[in-house]
Amino acid sequence: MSHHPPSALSALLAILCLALLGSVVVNQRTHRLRNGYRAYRLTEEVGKLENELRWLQGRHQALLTPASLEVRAQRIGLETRQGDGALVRAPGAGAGGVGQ
Amino acid sequence: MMAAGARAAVKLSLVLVAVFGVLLGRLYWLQVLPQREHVGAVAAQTQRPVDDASRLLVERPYRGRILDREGRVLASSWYAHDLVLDGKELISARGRDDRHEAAQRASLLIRQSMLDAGVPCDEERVHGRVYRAVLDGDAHCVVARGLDPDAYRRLEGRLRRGLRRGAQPAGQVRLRGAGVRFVPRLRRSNPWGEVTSQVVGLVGEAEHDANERIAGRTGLEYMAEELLTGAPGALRAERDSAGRRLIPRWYVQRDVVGGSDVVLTLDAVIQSICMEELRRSVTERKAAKGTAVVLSARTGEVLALASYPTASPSLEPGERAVDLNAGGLVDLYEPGSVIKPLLVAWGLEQGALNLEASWDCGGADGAHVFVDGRRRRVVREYRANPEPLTTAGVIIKSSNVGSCRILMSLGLKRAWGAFQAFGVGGRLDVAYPSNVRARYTTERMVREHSSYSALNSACSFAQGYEIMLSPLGMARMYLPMAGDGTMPEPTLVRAVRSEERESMAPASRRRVLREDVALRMRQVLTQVVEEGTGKVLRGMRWTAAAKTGTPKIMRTGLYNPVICAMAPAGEPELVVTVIHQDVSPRLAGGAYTGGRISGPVARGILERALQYMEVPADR
Repeated sequence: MSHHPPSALSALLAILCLALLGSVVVNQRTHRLRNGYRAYRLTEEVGKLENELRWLQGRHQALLTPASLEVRAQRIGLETRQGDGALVRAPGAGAGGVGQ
Repeated sequence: MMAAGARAAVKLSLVLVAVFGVLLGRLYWLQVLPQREHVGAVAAQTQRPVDDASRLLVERPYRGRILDREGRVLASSWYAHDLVLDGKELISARGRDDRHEAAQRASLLIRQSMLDAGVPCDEERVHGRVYRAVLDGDAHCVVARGLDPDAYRRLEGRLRRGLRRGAQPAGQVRLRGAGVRFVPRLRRSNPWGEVTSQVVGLVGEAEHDANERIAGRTGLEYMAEELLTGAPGALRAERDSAGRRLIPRWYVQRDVVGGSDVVLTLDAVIQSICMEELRRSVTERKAAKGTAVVLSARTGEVLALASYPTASPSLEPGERAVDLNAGGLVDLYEPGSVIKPLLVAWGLEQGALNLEASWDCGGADGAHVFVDGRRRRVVREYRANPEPLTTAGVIIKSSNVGSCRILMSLGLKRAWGAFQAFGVGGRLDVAYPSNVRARYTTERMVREHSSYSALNSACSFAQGYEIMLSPLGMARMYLPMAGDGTMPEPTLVRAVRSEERESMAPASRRRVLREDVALRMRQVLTQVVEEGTGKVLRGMRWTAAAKTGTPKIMRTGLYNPVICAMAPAGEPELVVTVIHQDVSPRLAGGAYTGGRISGPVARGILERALQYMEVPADR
């Protein structure tokens, strides 16, 4: 059985390992904190986008109602079918309807 | 020497390891394990005093949408934002001069940002509000209201840039971002506006609710309140010393539950067609009101339920709240002659009548006196029928005398039996507030009260009086005749959709008439269009079957002309009822009958709706 006394190098290695471990732990904590800020910002942004989407969908639908389509079609000289706003005649088209 | 040196090195290493171990353990305990009391202590030192409500971020749910059968959005929600200033949070300076200077800068920043973002800004008013809020330390000063998401994003971006540390002059009191808040307020969009407002209903701010939640006030918004309203979620957030928010990992989050979408059986385009036709007719004929109901003949689903005048969901000045009621469901009218086919159909079903039987309809006088003991009742024809009419002819010509004779031969009990079989007196199982029940003179009333008599009730029922029905109730009466003799229950809600599942409304149907009776009645009603009182429906690309009625309101002398129609007559797709209220022949250009007043509206609705539905023409 032989004894090999631990060298100063091994002690240093052990210290470095422990320091590394410590810094990982500290880094992990900081990382979580940073993620906390990021999570809040993202949550807020997703909320804003969803809200904008809903608002725009409402405006889009309002533009597609027959009354709205008829008003806009008349403004540019198109004829539409009453009630469902379907285009029935473009300027210069024959009596048969669009494209005929 | 070496051995002693090595031993010392080992001891030193052990001490160092132990020290590091303790430090690491402490570090792990402090930094990794959740330490609520320490977090609280740190919060007390580093954070501004904030109440629980502001640390608990409430995720607000969106109110569910209301959709039509084709998925068109009839009502949806979004959040508008109010710009709110918290004078206490905006600056921390105590000195009066500092506050004056900060108030000036805050006012300038907010006004400039609003102008840059294109938000309407009354500069004088905004300056006054901001100045006072900062000087007095007002914690809730509303500077701008109801910003749409676009304006909100622009204004928030500009304010954030202006409040950055680098953007503020050095050496002066700093304006802090935590003092500027945007408070969300739920808004409801109704893209189809007044076209669907009577069915969809409107919302208002809920009473006694600190969060100013909105709640349904009328229509489906009211009826489906529980389905449409979601549950708020909660998210624990912290704020650092700079007022920035973060979401710590270990705090519990409760998921927000959005409101369910309610899918109606209504078709917004058919509803729009009805509203247009009614608007034109009611205006031209100077009627008090016009109502149209369109049902799917196959399923009984309500495709349109429109009344004119109507009102927009925001109730603009000059509009009446009462016009937000769906007249097709909440108004009761005497049906007049449109009740006649029901009595005849029931007579055929019971085997007590045949269509070829002949009836004396008062001859050239156009009137007949019915006698029961000491009671007498004179019944007059609208137009005299000198020759006797067959049972089918009584319906085609809408003979009052003939109809009374038929009911006398059937017996009054059969009339009540018919009302029961057709579900006339039952409440319509439609999800709508104030869904009124039909009223009529009952057997018990005739038996127990001397003011009623069997003779009067029989003569009244035969002409569609002493009975009051909603327009939807009238349309429902015709469903068995429009189909195979079974009656589907009219429905207004098709399905309810939540994030997890979709529930379909159950369909119910019961047999009222034999199939051959339904077919024969439809043939008679087709003759009404070809040679009777419903000629206005002739000449369409689709064949139609119909019955008109012109009940007179004895008190006022005005008329409520009505028509119940179905098309195509071979295999009906649609059943339509149109009724005008309080029509004066003088104001309506001499016309007042169901065929001339309500008929053209029914024709317009049928032609345009069948074309829109791409139903093949059968003529």
